[in-house]
Amino acid sequence: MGRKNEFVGISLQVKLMLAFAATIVLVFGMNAYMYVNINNFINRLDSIYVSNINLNELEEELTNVQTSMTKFLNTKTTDAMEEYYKHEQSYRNAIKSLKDEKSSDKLILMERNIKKMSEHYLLLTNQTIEAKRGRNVEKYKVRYENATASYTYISTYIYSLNNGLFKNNSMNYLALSNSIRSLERLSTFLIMSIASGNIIVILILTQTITRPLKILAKTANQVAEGNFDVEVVEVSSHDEVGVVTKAFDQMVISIRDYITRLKESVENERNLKERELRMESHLKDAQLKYLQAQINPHFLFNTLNAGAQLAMFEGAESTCEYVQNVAEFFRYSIKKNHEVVALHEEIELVDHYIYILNVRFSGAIHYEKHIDDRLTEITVPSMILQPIVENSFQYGLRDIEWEGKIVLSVYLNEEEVCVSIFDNGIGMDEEQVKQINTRKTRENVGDKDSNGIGLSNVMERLSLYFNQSQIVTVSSEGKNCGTEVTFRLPWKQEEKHV
Amino acid sequence: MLIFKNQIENVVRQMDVLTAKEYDSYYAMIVGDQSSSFWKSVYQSAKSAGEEDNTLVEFMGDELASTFSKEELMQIAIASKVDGIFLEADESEALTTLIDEAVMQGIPVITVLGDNTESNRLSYVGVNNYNLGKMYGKQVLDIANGEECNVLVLMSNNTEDWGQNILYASIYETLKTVTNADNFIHMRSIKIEEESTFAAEESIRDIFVKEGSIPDILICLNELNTTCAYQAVVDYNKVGEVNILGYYDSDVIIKAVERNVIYSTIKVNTEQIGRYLIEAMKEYQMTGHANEYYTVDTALITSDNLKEFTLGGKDGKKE
Repeated sequence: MGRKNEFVGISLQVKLMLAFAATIVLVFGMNAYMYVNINNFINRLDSIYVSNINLNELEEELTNVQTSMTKFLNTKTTDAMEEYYKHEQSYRNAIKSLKDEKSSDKLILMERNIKKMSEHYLLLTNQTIEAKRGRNVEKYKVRYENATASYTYISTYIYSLNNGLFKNNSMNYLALSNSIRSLERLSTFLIMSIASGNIIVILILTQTITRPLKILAKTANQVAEGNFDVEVVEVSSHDEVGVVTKAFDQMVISIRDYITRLKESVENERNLKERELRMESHLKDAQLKYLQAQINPHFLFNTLNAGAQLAMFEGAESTCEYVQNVAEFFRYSIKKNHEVVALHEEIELVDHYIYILNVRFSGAIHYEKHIDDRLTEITVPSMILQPIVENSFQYGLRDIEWEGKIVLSVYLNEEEVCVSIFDNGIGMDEEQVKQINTRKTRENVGDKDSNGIGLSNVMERLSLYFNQSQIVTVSSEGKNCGTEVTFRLPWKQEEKHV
Repeated sequence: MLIFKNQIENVVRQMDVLTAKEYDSYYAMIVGDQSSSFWKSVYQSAKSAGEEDNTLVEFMGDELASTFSKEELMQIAIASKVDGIFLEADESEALTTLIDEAVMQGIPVITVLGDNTESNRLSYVGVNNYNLGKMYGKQVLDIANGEECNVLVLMSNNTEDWGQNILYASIYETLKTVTNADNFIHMRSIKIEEESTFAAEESIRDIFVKEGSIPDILICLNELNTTCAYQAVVDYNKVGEVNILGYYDSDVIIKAVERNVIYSTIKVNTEQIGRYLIEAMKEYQMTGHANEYYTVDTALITSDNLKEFTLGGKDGKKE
């Protein structure tokens, strides 16, 4: 496994280099092997007949000795004697190289006998020469005959040895030539083996290159056709193909991520748009209802303003104040009906509204405010507090026996600006509270005493505006225990403006 | 690869002659007819006996391109400074000289089957010719069975072969033990040129061709003559007419005995000869002297006792 990892970690260039280098090394090694063997054979072949050549030379020397001795015996010249001694010396040197073993090998034994006989022969020839120089005719003739006989024996031995060697050498030659033929067969076999081995290696190698490339090409085609949900191509090698494949995989993954993000972003945008549209529609709905409730508020405001001025001229201050409050109330609805407003503006509207109610119902409502002024700058959709206060009055305080009370509080609670409208009116049971909070109860829009903008409208708009579902909470401790409506507005809401 | 390597190694081993062995001593064996199976057998015996003692025995001149006479081979052996010579000698002067020369140069000579009593040879290993003659004589008497018959003895032309003469005399003596044998057994001999090539065959053929010269009993004193005589009897359709008393137990001769062409043949214990030769030489080297005579066993093979020899290899002495 480790080896495989090592192999897959090699680059293409190195792989190819290795394959070719291995081939070259194998071929070179085989050639070297063959070369050494063939060389060895050639050397052997060369040496085969050397023994014969040497023997021929030996025989030649022997003949020279005999001839020069005969010549000296015939002529007795100094030249002939010199020549004899020269040949005698070289023959003596020549026989030194002969083996002197009592061997079971007949040829070696022959060599030994040639050597011994030659020594004897040279003794005889020397004695013959000496006798001739001493003019001892009888002696030198006998010795000459002995030497000649010895010469004949040695010649025969050399000839026989030569024949024997030649026979041996021929056999060796035959064996060697057979071996060379075997070598040929072996080398052919080896070359074929190396060639087939090489083909297999190259096949494997090219497959390791082309197979991932094919897979890569197929996957790339799928991607080109727009299918990004392709399987990631598995990479086992770390070569160039591996690098390309990895890069491709990374690219596909990146594209896929990008597409996902793009989809999310589009989805978000769509949601936002939808929210905006819905909010607008709700606002429009509120406005419509508002407009239906107020007949031409501009005209009404101007009329009321004129009435206030008239009252002031007439010195009816209470009437003037009342009319002014009513005018302010309507003015707000004219001025702010589209907009997002500051919380304090909403509170002011509630103030006007409570004043009007107290005038209408003879100060039946005790109104308390607990406002943290730091928090009143936050922006909210317009017309959110007044409808709640109106609800409190309409459903909570209108029919009670005791003194009605409305408490408006603005305070900070854990990063949230809480706006609470509490009335000590008729209250609600648990079931009703739950239904309102889960928005199961739709307010009766056609209620004759309502100005039309109900709690659910406020809740919807706030939810859309802040993109949160649970902005408004209604709570009541039970029947006749009053009701509290609480807005939890995010503190850092400036950023949330859409 | 492995097969090829083995093959190469075989060739190299063959070329280097790794099997050649070196010996302590080297003896030459010189005989008249190296091609005869008798001498081959003697040589093999001597060779294997020598092998046990790390001694090399060479059939002198066996490997040579030319054929040399015993005298020449003696000269070669002396010049080659061998450690000892086994020689099938005769009583010729030339051999006496050569044996003496060899002994002078420190080469002991042991004569085998043929002796040279005049020389300083160390020992003689061979058959007792007198006893052998008696064996032949008894055979002749058996065949003749009191009737008239002609006996022809094929002898070598070497007049100085005393052993042969003793043998002839011994046959003659045996015949004379029977009263009036002279009257019905006519014994004569012819000499066959030993040195001349093909002489044996030619001479024996002549006996059968010449009118009236065909003997009733033909005594052959060596393997070659026995084989030639046997072939001549068959060729000239004289089987049953001529009784051959042969020498040595080569396959051809044994087969002839089996077919009753040869009446009987003398088996000489060649293995013993070879062993004695080495023993004598060894004894001389160790003690400085050896027995003068080593007598080897002989046995008579006839068609009656043939099976004992071919099956059991019986080699008992029989006179």
